[in-house]
Amino acid sequence: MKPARKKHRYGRRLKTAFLPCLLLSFMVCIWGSMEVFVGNAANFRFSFLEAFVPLFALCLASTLIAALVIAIFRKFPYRLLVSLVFSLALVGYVQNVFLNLDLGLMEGDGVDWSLYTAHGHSNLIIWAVSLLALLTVLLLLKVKVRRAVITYGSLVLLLIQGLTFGIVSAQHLVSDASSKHETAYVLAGNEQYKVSPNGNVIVIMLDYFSNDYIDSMLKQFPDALNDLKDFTYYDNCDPTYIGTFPSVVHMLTGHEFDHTIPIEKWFSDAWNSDSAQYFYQTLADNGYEARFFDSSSSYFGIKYATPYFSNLIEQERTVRYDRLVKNMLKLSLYRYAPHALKQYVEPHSYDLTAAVTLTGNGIINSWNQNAFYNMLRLDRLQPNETDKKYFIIEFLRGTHPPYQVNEHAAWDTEATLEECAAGYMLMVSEYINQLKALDLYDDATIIITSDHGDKENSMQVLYFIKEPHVTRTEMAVNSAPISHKEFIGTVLHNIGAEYPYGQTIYDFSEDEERERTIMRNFIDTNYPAVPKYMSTADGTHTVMYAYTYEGDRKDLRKQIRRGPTEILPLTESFN
Amino acid sequence: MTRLFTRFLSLLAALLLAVSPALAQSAQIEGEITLEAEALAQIFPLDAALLASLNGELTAQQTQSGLHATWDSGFTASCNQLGDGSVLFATGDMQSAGRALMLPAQTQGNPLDRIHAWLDQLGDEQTFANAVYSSLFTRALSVDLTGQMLSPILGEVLAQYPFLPGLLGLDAAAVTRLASSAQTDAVWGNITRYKGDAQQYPDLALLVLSLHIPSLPHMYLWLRTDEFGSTIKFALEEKDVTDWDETLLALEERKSDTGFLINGFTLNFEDDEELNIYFEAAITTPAHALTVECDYYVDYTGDYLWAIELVASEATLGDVLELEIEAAQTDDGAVIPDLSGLSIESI
Repeated sequence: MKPARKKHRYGRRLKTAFLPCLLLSFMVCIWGSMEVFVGNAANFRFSFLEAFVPLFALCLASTLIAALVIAIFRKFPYRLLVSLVFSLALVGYVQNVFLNLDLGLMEGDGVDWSLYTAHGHSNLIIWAVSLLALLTVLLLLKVKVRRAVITYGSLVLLLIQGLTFGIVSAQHLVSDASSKHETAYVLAGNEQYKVSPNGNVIVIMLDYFSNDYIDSMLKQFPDALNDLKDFTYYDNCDPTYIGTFPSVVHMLTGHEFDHTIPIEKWFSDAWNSDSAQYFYQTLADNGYEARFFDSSSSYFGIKYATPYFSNLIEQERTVRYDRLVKNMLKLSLYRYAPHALKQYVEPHSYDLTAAVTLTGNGIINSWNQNAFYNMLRLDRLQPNETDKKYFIIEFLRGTHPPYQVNEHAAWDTEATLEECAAGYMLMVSEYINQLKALDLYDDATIIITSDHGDKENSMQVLYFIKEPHVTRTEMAVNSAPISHKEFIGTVLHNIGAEYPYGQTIYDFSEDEERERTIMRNFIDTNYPAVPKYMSTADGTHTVMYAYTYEGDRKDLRKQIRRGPTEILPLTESFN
Repeated sequence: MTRLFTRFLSLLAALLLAVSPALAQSAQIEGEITLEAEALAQIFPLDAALLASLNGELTAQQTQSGLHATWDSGFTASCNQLGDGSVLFATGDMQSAGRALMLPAQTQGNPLDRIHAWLDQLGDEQTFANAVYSSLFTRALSVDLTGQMLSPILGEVLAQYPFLPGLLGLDAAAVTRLASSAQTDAVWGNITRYKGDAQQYPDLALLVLSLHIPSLPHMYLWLRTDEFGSTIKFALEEKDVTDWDETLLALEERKSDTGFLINGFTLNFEDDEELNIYFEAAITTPAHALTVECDYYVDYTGDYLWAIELVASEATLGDVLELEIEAAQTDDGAVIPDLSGLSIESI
């Protein structure tokens, strides 16, 4: 008789242990990370199923193993283990839903944990007290009552989370955000330091670089622009849009942003627009090959630009399931763990990006930041074997916060704005001097500018241009009211071509009164939330604020203070 | 209505005097004042002929010791700097010409610094790695304000500006009731301070203050400061306010019963070359909706020291007042009589 009773008890222990183990496994293996995934699908290179299938398998396996192992124990150790699993799940659930601070999106920059020391301690105390209290109560309960509490408690939490998971997953799977990415597009950096021996138009775009930063930089580093004596500094340049999206695509296509249509549609329209087709065809007709170097292509709808850039490569992707599972588990644990322990499981976006690798042909990403400078000095600019001329765009991080490069162009997370600005001007100087060494500087057109300034008072951008065969004893300054609407026209003008879709910077004189409008995304709570691009979650921004002004950056600041001239409701938010 | 308008004039005068260092320099001031007498008389219970007589040209001389201004109609006003650093600015409440308002031109240090220091003592600031309020701010501190917390500040303000109760229409009994209420822990409002990201926007701060002190109009202040200056939104509403967003919208669209809204900013341009103060004030009553725009410039490097453009208009009556004054620096540093007290000569 005794062996049968033992089996019966083992079976009962297994049954009781199963649900809390399933609850904890479901939370850690699936729900914690997949909830983040469906809300930010565009930021992940893998698809829903590529993540869900292995995580689901892990969830089942860990549930079974944990329940089988726990059921081996009897009496107090068994009661303690089951109670502990249930308590961990419950307190973790409370932590995620009620106690987590808004620690922001994972942008690869990390959280400054020293700011949260006090909070971490108090949160740990809450955990300790809660766990202790829960365990004490559960262990003091009668067997049947404890079993009921754990069973039904686990069931309720499973149902709540499982149902929510089902709903958001279904929403995700029927949305555009779920489109599987069989291939990915890379702006390959294999020939980043190759220039044409036949002639070059070079655009160095420094992200987030206001013309106000030039003034600040010069106060501390007065020699930072010494190598630009042949240039003209246009100190009244309006970027038209604040934000890499949509500014860069607008610059490179001449197509204005349309807030009334989804972003993917706008990308397609922009790259297929008459102005874009004309621009790149005219470049080709004049013997130019276009190359675009950027370490990321997330902001450009780049797949629609494949006819234009010779270094835009379509790559097959390989999912590294080991990295995927490991980092998704970290993401889950990050959400459920007590605050003091989160730093040990903090996920980084580049780890999740690395879960999908791009293979084939030894394609490398373009260099950026201090790496760009280091490789420039190591590899040096080289003339390529080609009969083409090159139109090159170098898109570098610039003075985009946080500042990670100092005035020596070295990696430095303590760098100030001025030091970072000087560091990038050092990179520009190095590039220019290497062109001179190759005797390719004189006939080159070189533009140094930015896609946008900051979101506030310093919205205008730097703009330096050297035309072919121009030499000066010192840099010229021009205060004509120009904008990035003239970007394409100016490039074509300097290769001797016309641009019927817009003007050039040379069409505006310094004393001219020109009305310009600059636009930025904004969180205006008077307007409804809109979907986020490539996601089922709500986006950050709801509107675009447009500021129309005449004059220079001072007049723009006045208009910013007065408020937007026009408010444009968004259809989709990029962030 | 008159009380609100006088309140606004006082605020404007105090602000101009407090912020303009050019007033300390020698200057030849010229200007033109245009009053639409008939229209103004419909707003203020004043004699249209009197108002019409105030039209004319303004000339004045400013030296270290004070300002003496003359309208060609014969109306004079004076502004004198006294020995203790305060400025006696004589202006007219049209209903009782001759009443002077004593307004200190210099405060005890930067009042904003004092507010920030006071807030730092009151509560713990929360830091967010992501955005709070808007994409620029990453730190926030919110404090409910009780009568007991505010009573020391109220006391100091009343000591500095003893004319305020009269200006706000408070008699002695109302002031006593106010003082009694100040001893309680009833919540009179809230102040929230947002700060920008320490690396990207170190000078950016936003104060949002909402007050509903008994016996006083409900008040709302939104003050944002950064390295280039400040932006302000200040509203008074005679009736109880539970939703300031709705109230501000009503004031902006002139749909409030009785309210007063200022939107304005100061801008300091690079290298201390220029100061710009801009105000839009909206005063609404059941009968009228008056708006005032004031643009004030101080140019440290140009041909003029400072200039003011002020336009007041009423929704149905159109423009009722235009004022343009420009001050140019003089070389001779002429000294004007130091008037020891109020001096207003009306026609």
